[in-house]
Amino acid sequence: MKRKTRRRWMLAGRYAVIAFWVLFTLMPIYTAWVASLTKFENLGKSFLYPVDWAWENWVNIWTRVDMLGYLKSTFIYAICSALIAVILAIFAGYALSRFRFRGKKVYSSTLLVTQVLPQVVIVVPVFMLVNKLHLYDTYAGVILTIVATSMAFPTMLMRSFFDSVPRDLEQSAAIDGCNRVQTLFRVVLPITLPGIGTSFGLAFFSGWGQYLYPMVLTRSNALTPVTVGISRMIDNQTHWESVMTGTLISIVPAVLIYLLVQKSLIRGMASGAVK
Amino acid sequence: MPKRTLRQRHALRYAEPYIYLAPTIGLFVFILLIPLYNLFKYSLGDSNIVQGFKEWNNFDNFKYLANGRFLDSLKVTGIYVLFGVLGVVFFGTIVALALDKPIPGRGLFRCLVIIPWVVPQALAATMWRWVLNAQFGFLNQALMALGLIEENIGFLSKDTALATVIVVRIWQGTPFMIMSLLSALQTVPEDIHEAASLDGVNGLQRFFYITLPFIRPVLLTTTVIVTAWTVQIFDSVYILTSGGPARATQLVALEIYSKAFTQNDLGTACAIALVVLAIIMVLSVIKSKFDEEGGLL
Amino acid sequence: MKKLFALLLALAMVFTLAGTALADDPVTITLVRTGTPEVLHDIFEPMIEAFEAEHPNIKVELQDLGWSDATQSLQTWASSDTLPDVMYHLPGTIFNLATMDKILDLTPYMDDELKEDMFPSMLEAGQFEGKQYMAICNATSLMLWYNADLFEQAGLDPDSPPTTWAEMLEACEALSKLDGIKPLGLYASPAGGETSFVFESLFTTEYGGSAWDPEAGGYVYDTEEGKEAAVNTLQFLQDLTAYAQDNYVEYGRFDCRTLLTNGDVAMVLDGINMANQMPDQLADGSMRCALLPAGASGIQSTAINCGGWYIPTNCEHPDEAWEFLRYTMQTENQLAHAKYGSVPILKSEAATYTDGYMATVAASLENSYAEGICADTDALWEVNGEQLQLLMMGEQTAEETWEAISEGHADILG
Repeated sequence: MKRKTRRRWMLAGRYAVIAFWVLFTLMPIYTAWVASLTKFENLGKSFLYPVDWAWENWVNIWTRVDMLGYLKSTFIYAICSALIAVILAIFAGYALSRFRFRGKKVYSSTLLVTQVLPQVVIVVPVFMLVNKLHLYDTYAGVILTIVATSMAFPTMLMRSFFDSVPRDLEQSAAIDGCNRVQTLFRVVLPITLPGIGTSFGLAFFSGWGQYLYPMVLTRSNALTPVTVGISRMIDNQTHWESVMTGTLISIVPAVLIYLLVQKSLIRGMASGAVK
Repeated sequence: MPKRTLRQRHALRYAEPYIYLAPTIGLFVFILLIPLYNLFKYSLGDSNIVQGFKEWNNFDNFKYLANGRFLDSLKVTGIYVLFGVLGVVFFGTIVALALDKPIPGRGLFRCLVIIPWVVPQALAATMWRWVLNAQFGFLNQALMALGLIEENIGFLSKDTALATVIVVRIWQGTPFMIMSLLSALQTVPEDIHEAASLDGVNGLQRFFYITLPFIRPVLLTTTVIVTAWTVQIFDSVYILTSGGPARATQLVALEIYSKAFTQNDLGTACAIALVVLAIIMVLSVIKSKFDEEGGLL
Repeated sequence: MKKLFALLLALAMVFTLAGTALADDPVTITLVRTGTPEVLHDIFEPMIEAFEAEHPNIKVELQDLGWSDATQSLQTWASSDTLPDVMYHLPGTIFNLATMDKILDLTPYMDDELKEDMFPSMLEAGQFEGKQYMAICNATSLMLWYNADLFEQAGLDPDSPPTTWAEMLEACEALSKLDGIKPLGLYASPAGGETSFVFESLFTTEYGGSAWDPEAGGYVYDTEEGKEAAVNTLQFLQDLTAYAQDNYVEYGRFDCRTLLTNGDVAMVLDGINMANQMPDQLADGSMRCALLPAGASGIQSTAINCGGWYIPTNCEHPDEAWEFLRYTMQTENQLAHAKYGSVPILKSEAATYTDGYMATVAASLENSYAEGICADTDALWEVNGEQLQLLMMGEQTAEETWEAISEGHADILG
């Protein structure tokens, strides 16, 4: 009897925590949604609930700005940088997991530094370099920069995945005459697929939100990602309703993709991070 | 396969890890090392973005580092990172625990709480502006409608702004923590909990003695990553407060930005950046001392 | 034989085609107008189309750049000599680039017709160290915008808005009797330019002259000579805060516009951009605008905040670039451009505004001074923004603020 009441209280407590957190999480999203349904003249009158129900904002945004083009560039940045990051992370993670070598510590620290380095700190020198390499205003310049600064986490994740793969497996493959690279691809990688998926997911989302690098490293309208495109609408008489609509639209694909990969993302992180 | 001599095999074996690392090393050299070298160079002279390094100026740029204004921004950054990270860890843990066991609507909640993570920082801040606006912000209007307040609250005024930007940071940073911990919690065997609850262990004890040891590695790693990301924050604070009012939220990252882009003083900006780097290095050395070999980083 | 002939013919055709292509190879110039693309495309796309029809040898490619990413992009472009061929931006930033030889002097290009048509203060606002680096095409003065209904409710005559600082404080006092509203919308968010503009505009009417001394290359209000007027102006700003909405340090200009249109405050000091926010109310007279109330000089003057076109030195086709720039400055095109929010730049443009609030706007230009702009403007304004914020929060007195501002400026100007 006593245990039952305690369970009830536990459940109530859990719901309270969840309710609080979901409300907190959704507050800005809800506000943005209300703003997106408001006419420009009425902005700021009420944010409690939509008054105008101006769904035309959601239609007009596609013609007011090149939303489709922005989304396309964002996809390209996110997918390409995630792909490259994962491939590099596989090799780097494998090396860190399977070998003892000189400079391992230095490499690991460098990796950490790339994660911590504020973007504003290096964006100017990076720009100067990218410009010298004739990669200014290209997808490649932005993608390489994103990869370099977001490599650390996928690498760490892949490393711990490889750590969890028993070495015996590789040894028996070696006996069968496979060389190391063959072993890696035929034996190890299939086991670590969830890790690869997780790394890809994480890298994808970090590519999705990039703002400063594409802003400074590109100029053509065709290369403008959604973050930069929407921020451009902000000036001293901003049409905030469009900004909010655009913001919400830019979140939708990311949320959908998250829904698709959610299960494997969570499972992948669990099996990878815990040995 | 051609036969290799022992020596060749040995050399190959020695070189192998470096071959795997070569592409990333190359990338780091290009995208990080060269810029870092430039950072160092610019910090030593009169420099601006347009013309680069102009002339040597006797460490003039480093004088600003002793300035009270800079030290204040260092303090603000320290508070921001400390409480931002603590908040993420605390809320991340309790929300993850609440969402761990089956509960009606769990799938939906799990999806909802993750949203801030996929919202680009720069855009998140513009949404928060509408929530926090002193007059017509959602929060003030809602509290007013509920009769909880009689006067609008200035969420971004001198005394509240830093706390507010920290809350926004927690909003952004927690989803990732929730996700990591949810995955870690899956590894806690169910029967241990059953056994413990039969023994009359209470919830808090159960967390500290049973759950925590299981999720500790993930918790630590994720905390390091969240810390790294928090140190980096620029956009959201810049958009919310531009460092004000009266420099109450002037993070070091904003200081760097203002020196480099507004005041045409790339030299001082780079000097500040070097200090940030040095601090980060020291912290990561301290961290690696705590890590046993085989730690994640 | 036939084959050979065919081949020759083909070759000949290729050469002719190539030849004509070379002769008429259209020159492409890139155009950037900093601002919201969604509004600017509507303004410039028709203009570009008409221009290209008139000049078949010139193609104009419009690139987008928002205010939020302008500072970074501009400096990175300048450092790599890839500035667009014609670009709109703010004088402070451009003059800074001019000191690094990145900006073309337009003096040889400016024709008399244009020079005579431009208001003198606008023409001068584009000059720096004796050279015409910019052609100003967008500007705003500071004006008093007010809610006529609230004025009536407070027993004030909406037809005679305050003309002096004393009257303005009286109006504030009267309006403060009304329930549920505040007399004045003030903004003091840290974006330095906005509050600086208010301070400098008020200073011109107290001092009776420009806030900037081009000879000395510094602000008049930083000098001992301008100190009294400056301290008075700062004091006035601090006095106004007693009548302002709560939490005004968190407000930018934009938020105050919303306060006025919502009827939460009765008066706001703002530029022309206010007009786009409430076209209907301005038309029916429920919202109005007036000249900035005068300080000790008794003259209702204002500072002018400008933006304009420039051509960078890295432009490969300056003649064509100028051709387009000049085209945008024609009266009708300038009128179209002004929809983005600008006071008249050309006298011919002003002549088209005969009534309504735009007549007041045009009148405000009579006593106006281009804002003090030099190569370090952004940094100078950052100092102002922070110190004015401290002043308006009541953290420091007018005198202390003046000292902090002039010291901060002295550090920058050396």
